[in-house]
Amino acid sequence: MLNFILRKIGSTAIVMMVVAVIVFIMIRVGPGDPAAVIAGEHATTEDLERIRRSLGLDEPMLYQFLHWVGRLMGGDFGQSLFSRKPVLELIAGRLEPTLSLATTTMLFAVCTAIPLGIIAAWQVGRWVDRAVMALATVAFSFPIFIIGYGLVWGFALKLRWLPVQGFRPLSQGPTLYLTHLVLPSLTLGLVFMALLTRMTRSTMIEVLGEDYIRTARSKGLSQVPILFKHALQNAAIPIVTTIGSGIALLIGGVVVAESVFAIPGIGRLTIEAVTQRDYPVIQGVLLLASLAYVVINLLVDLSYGLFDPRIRNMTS
Amino acid sequence: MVFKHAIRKIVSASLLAAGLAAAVCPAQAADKTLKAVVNADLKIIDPTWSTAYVTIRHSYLVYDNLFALNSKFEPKPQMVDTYDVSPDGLVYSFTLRKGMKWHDGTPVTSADCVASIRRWAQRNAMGQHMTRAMAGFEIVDDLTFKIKLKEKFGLVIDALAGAEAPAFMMPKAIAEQPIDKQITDPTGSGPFIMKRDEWQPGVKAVYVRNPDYIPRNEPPDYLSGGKVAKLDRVEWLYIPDNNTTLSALQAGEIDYFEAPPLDFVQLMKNDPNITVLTIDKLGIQMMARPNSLFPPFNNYKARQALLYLVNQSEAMQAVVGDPEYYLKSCVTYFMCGSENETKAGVVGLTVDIEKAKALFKEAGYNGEPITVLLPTDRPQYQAAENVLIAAMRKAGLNLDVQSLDWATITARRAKRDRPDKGGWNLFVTSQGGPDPASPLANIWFNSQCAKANVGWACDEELTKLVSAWAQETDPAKRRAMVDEIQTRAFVSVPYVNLGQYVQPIAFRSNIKGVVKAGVPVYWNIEKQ
Repeated sequence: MLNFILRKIGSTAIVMMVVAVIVFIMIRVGPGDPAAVIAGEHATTEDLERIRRSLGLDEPMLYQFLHWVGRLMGGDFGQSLFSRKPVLELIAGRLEPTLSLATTTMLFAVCTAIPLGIIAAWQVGRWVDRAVMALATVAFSFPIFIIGYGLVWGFALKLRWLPVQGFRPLSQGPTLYLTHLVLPSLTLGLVFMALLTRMTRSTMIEVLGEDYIRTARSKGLSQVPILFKHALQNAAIPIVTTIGSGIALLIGGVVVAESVFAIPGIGRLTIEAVTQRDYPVIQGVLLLASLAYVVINLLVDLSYGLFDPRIRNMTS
Repeated sequence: MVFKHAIRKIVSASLLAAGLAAAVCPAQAADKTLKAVVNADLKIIDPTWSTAYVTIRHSYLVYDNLFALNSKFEPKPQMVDTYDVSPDGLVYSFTLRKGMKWHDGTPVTSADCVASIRRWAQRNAMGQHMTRAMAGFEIVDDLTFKIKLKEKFGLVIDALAGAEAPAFMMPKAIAEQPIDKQITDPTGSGPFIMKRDEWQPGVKAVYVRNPDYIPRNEPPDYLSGGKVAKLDRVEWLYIPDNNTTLSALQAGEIDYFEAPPLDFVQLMKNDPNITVLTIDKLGIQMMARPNSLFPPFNNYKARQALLYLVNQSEAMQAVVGDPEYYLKSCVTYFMCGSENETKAGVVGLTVDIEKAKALFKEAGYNGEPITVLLPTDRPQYQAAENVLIAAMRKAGLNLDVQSLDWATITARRAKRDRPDKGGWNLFVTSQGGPDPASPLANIWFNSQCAKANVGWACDEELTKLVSAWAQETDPAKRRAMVDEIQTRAFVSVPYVNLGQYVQPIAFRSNIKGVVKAGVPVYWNIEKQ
């Protein structure tokens, strides 16, 4: 097991290095210039040159890269070209909203999708199954921003039950915290719920047709232990893999949900940095996002052992 | 039993709903916090480092000025108590108001103001002209200083007043930082204090009332007069999505929407809880900027030809829609509604395709590609430019329209490369407020060739006329010279005026006292 984890950490380091090089080169060869954005609408050519000089953007690209990597080795991700605040401080300030949104979204999606998928598989071909599949298709087909605006119109503007936008940290109280997360989590979670429902249903249908399920039934076991003890545990690996991949899907969705609901999270930080060509922030966010993605994959790999003793024995 | 259970459920649900409503609905007690959504995210707080509008708006909250414009665009004393000009017009003496303090409690002195003017003059176009005419400063005492000129410059007070980029006063230690180093300390002497610890770029900026601020006694008039801070706290929230901002305003989660898209205006007007107000009597001038370095627009005939491809009414209809917010025609370079508005020398600005074709032919244009930069993320620029592009195509021009985001355009337009090597021939931009009304402060009018703004308009005769105008101290004579300047400008055509429109603001109807100051300012505002 330890060997497995060490191997994974080693490959993570290589992935991170490749990501660092690609990110650095891609954002610099792309069009745009942070100095032009900083200088504003009415800046002269001299203003731009002065700003470029003061930010070190006139240095050769190799020098800039080595300088960045050198600082990175010491844990320094640099400063925003705009606010001059440390990149890590900016990212840290945006973590709580994004982690909160991701967590509530996953909880909503998993807690609704798995029961719905199981019920649909159990009732396969009947009206319940068709209704669940229709719901999943509709939820999967709507773009996130349309769902978002629709929910805002209904629950925030018409019913006035929930706020339109914003984020309140948990320190301001759990009610405020949760009410500000309901609509964004629903918006973001519906697509993922649809995907996970379909995956759970199809995997469960396959497992429910296995011989050992027939044996369990012939032994007179009731539906609940069959579904949840025998079938779900054996269907868990593809479901857990989908949840893991779903987090990657979330990264894309978070950007839209954070924009629609004005949640100051990592997604919005990324968009702002990209539109303004804030190189150190883009580099920092993408590097940490790829690290998070690799770590999540590692956790998903490790979790397989919990569900399947064969994998546990192989890795140990 | 079943009935009791149902009752219990209903009561629980009601309590939960009440709890949620209490959490969601804003407190009804009179609070003095204004939540405003401004036009962009505040990332830079140094007004000499960036000319971004949001930085200037921030500066009006935390800094004060020596002079400020009134609604007739006349400079009026603000931090200055009294001033006089020597009979030869070469010495300006200023005495500051007593009792003014910086946000850290230290007194405002002449030395601070001199250092601030020096910093501002290194970047500001008017300030640079003033510096060239200056012999130096003299600090007489803590409250008095002098600006000494070596040659006449009739715009000293106008330059210090400015509008979009006035000389903001800051403590000497901050103002003396190198100009290529961005200041990060927002200490000023203005009516509000920035809470730097609460500033989160991309999220919000927070300002609180400055208890030490001593406003002038006069009522607020445009940017001049008493700046009475009636709010305890101003929160600038950054909401990038306009639909969300509108919903937040409708729901009462925010109080003030600084730059609503013009297609939202009718919807907001129909809501009794929202007031839509135009605070800027001049508005915004939209323009097409040709690149004078490369063919065809290095030939003034080709630039003149553009004048015959412009239908301002059609362009403004595309940009704004509602005729209440735009002028059907505004031919002057110097903002309709300003004292410098003139029709002198006007040619074109009506569509005449044949005339345009003839002028392009005279300019030697022979079907070479013309690179036009079209912004994909600036709908107003895009709309005006599309109208111009249609007319250019009708005139038989071979256009290479490149759709790019604005950040890319701002970088590309600064390049002096040939259009086929990454340069450009034409793009659309805009400028607003009283500054474009001045031949000197209008940065796109500057025709000093390599020293001019991107596009590098080049006309020595026009430059001489503007310099003479700046040296003239008699306002009546200066006004007469504007006609001559504009007549020359319609020959060399530094840019083409595509029309003038205003951008209204919107706020909750319980907000009172919004000052029509051209730029959004937060003094005098009350929340009832």
